[in-house]
Amino acid sequence: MITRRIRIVAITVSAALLGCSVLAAAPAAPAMVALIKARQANYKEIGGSFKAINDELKSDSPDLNSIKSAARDVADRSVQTLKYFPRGSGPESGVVTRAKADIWANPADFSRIQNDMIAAAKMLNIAAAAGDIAGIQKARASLGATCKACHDKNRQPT
Amino acid sequence: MPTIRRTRLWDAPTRLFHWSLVALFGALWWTGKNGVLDWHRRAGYCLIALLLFRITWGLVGGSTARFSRFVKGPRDVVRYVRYSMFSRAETAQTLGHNPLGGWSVLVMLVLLITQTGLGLVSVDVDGIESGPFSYLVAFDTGRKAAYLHHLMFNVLLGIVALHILAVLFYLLLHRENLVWPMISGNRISRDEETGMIAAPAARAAGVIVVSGIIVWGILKIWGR
Repeated sequence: MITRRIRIVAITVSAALLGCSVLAAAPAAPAMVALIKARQANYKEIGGSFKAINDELKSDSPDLNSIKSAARDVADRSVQTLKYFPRGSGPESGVVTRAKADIWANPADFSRIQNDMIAAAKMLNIAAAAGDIAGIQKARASLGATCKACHDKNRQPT
Repeated sequence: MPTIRRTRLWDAPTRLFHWSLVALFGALWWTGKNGVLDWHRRAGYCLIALLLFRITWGLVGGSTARFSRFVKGPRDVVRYVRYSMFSRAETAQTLGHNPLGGWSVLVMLVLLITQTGLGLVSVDVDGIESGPFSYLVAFDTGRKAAYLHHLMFNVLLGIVALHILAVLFYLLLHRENLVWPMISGNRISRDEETGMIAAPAARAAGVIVVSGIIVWGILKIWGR
């Protein structure tokens, strides 16, 4: 009698666990997958362009033309980040992402940090277009600080 | 009362290498974990020079520091592990690295070379901090290098733990203190032993200086 009840409980629990794991492994919506992939690709491009700028600045004779096109790229792409964080595109999406849930828990905070980035990238682009190395150096530092500030706060560390 | 004899085991450059490596390893760990990357890079450059020195010293240094002396074939390693390593009765100690220890030295050197190489081309997620040769690789490659750099560090921590366990093993099973000779250079024994053959101090100084200049020069000319 008791063993039978235990068996029933055991079966129910395992069925529930199985159900949960199936739910957890449920494939994410294709549109969400595409959006998150595009978001990640956009950040990778920003990283690449920002790296290109920093590589030039570290050289003895920085190539202004590379800096110019990379700065334009960063400025354009930083604006694009605005459309990449709809609700549901966080860890709950089922897609592997380092975006923390805090982003959507404090949306005002996140959009302020996004706007800081956009503003800094714009300053960098203006300085680069003018060929003003000192201005580029300054803008690069403040843009870098916005990257770091957001990563420290909103990105899951490795 | 038996006479206590001191047998020369490690030359000063080899000991200096060992303890500098310990200090740099700690410094690199701390600066890496805490994001003090300008000092992490500097300590890394010192480590590269140190590795260059040790490899050269393995060719021209004192007898126990030489690769030709302590790198043995698999047969010797197997024989050592089967008949000597776990046998307390075994009294004949190797002067310097035993056949298994010799390979652990090589493994550590190769891993450290790989680790510093990865560091040279690593890029952080913000694209701000980077190794001096990361300008030669794409952002994505630099990120992958940083990931492997991180992974490899954990492997190195495991190797360090294994190294310390091995030292404890020799202390407990063989009653042989390996730490003191690495500090003083001498092993204390009762039997008459032939010590190591030293290399001239001027050669050591020369190799240290040249290693430093080579690393500094390469970074100065090609690094960013």
